Amino acid sequence: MHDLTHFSLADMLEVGSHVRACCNGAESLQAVAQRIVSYLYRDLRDAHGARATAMVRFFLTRPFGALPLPYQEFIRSTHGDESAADDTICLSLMATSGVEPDWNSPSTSRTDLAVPLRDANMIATAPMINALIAQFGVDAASVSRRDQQLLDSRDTFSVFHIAEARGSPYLPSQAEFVQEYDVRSVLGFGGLLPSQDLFAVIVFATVPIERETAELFPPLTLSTKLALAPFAYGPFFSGDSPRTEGPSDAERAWRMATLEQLIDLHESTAIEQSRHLEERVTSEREAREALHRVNERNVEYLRRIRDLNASLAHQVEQLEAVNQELEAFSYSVSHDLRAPLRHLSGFADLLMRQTVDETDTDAKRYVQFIKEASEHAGKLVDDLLSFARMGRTEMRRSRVDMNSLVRLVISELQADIGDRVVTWRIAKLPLIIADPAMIALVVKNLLSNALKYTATREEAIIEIEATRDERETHFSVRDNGIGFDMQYVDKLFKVFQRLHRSEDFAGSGIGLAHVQRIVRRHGGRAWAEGKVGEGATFHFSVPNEAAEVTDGRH
Amino acid sequence: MADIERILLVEDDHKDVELVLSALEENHLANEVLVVRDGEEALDYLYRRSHFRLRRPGNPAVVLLDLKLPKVHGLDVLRQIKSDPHLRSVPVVVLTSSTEEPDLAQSYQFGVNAYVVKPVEFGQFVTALKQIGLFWAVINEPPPGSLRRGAYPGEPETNGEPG
Repeated sequence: MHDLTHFSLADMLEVGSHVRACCNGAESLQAVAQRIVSYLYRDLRDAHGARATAMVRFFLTRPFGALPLPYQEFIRSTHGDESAADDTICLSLMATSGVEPDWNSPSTSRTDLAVPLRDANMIATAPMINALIAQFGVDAASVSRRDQQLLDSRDTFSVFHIAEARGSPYLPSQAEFVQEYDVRSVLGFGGLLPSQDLFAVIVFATVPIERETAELFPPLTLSTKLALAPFAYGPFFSGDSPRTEGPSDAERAWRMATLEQLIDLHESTAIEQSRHLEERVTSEREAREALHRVNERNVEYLRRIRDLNASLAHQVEQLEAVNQELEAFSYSVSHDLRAPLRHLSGFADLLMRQTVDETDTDAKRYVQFIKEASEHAGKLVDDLLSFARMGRTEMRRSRVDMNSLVRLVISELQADIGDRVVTWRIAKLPLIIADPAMIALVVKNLLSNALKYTATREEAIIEIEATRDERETHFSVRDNGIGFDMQYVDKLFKVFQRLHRSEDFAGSGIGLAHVQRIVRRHGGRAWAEGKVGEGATFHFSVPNEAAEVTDGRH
Repeated sequence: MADIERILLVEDDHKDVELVLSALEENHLANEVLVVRDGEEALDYLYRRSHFRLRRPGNPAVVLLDLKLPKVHGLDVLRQIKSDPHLRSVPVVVLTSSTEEPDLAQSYQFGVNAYVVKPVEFGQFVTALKQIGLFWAVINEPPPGSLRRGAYPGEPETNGEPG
């Protein structure tokens, strides 16, 4: 069994050897032909071992007069008596093997038993035969006339390949044969016998045959020729009378020539195959080497990435350490500042009480300033302390009803509002997952700022809105206050940076930095926009997924 | 009548001492305060040893104890007071700038009676001290063995034996 879809040089040699043996014990050319087609039909398989051919046929041209009676009768009945001249060359079906039981003997085959080739036009009615002849480099008319010169031509064999049977013009019976029996491709090979008869073996395959496979068939053609050689001068048909003389010198010479051709062809095929193999080996080796180089490069990249990661991790560690130090420092300093501030405030107060009766108003004023300054300093220290402390506390995560939270904060700020006219426009705010105390601080900060910077307006209008997308929920607080210059927007969120003169608007300057810190810890962002004289809008966003930006400690 | 020193103030910072005294003065309690400047002195006073060995016997009605003290730390003083059977009934009010969790927790572990953080703003400081002084030295009934307020000569100077 040989796999026609993966036909190799070794396969071809084995099949060729079998084919050459088909003449052993045969008594006619037809018998050899039948053995050859039966063998090919049985032997050629696909990759799964199923039969790869629907039909294999053997054709031979013979003069009408030399045909057996059934053939002659067939021709007369189908083509009329004009074709019944003795020297009309007829293409005859010598042997056949196939799927249908009828296809295993010429006499039972329903297709043409024989076709008279009276002229080129008739040959054209058998398109494949026509094409096969054309590939000899010979024209069809010469075949029908049996030109003497054909006998001398050495290249008297050829291979004919139809890669795609479906829709091929060489196969007229598309529906009833090609589609019905799932014929995919056709391989034809044939040659000329010394009697100037043309033989052709046509293989109708149910698998696609690659061009590389077709290129392996010329030696097979020669092997077929060699198998037919003992009967090159008869007997042709099984009913024919056997030969009386032995092979002539011309016959022997012809056989030798054919053998030599076969050897030459085997050699050149072997050389070609060997060259193909070498090329493949080389290209595979080159591909492997290229891959190896790519791998090495990748390994190098990986190593570099790992190094970079390590140094990055190290830097992060250092940054965290510095951060912790800073926080500890600011915490302890703020803590230690409280005592001196208390003293400042205390003695200023006592001093004030001592001067209460005196008329030195300047002294009283100075002392008042000292007291206020120390109180202010005290508030700053408290802010700093809570700022530093925030970094050390655990973040809580729970659902926060923002509308309730805003209401609470507004009520806490009532003291600052007093009897000012403040219009609150609060939209329906979504729930978020956050640390309630921290977000309350954020809201308090932003609302308190809004109140502060609208203090000069007759009616302060503060609007709170929110939008939500897949990733985050975004809040905005807009006021109609004095606004700020966008040029300095970056400074807004930095600690102790202020954009207005301190006597106009009291404030510690730490609030927005704190806001940003808290928002960032939640994984969100804070930003602002404003226009001088036209108010400001402060924004902050919180991710919908409770994601905490860790600083490595919690 | 002699002013009995019923309030023991343990405070090392002289400015804080002055502020506390002037605050207590608003309730006329300044005269009843004895000031010691470190933890060792506080214990010497309470145990009537070293240069306090000749003081009249009797416990203060309240101890105002700062934590950041030289020689012996405030928490140590507190621990000793509260683990001594003769002293543990003495009310101790920690009066400190520290808001540290551990200090707070430890103090209550040792059995402090009150923990007050000194406000930065003087007005609030005064109010707090007035309230502390008023409560512990006037309103509260001190434990037995405490020095009595305004005893006449001949009257017992303490309200019974310490427990």
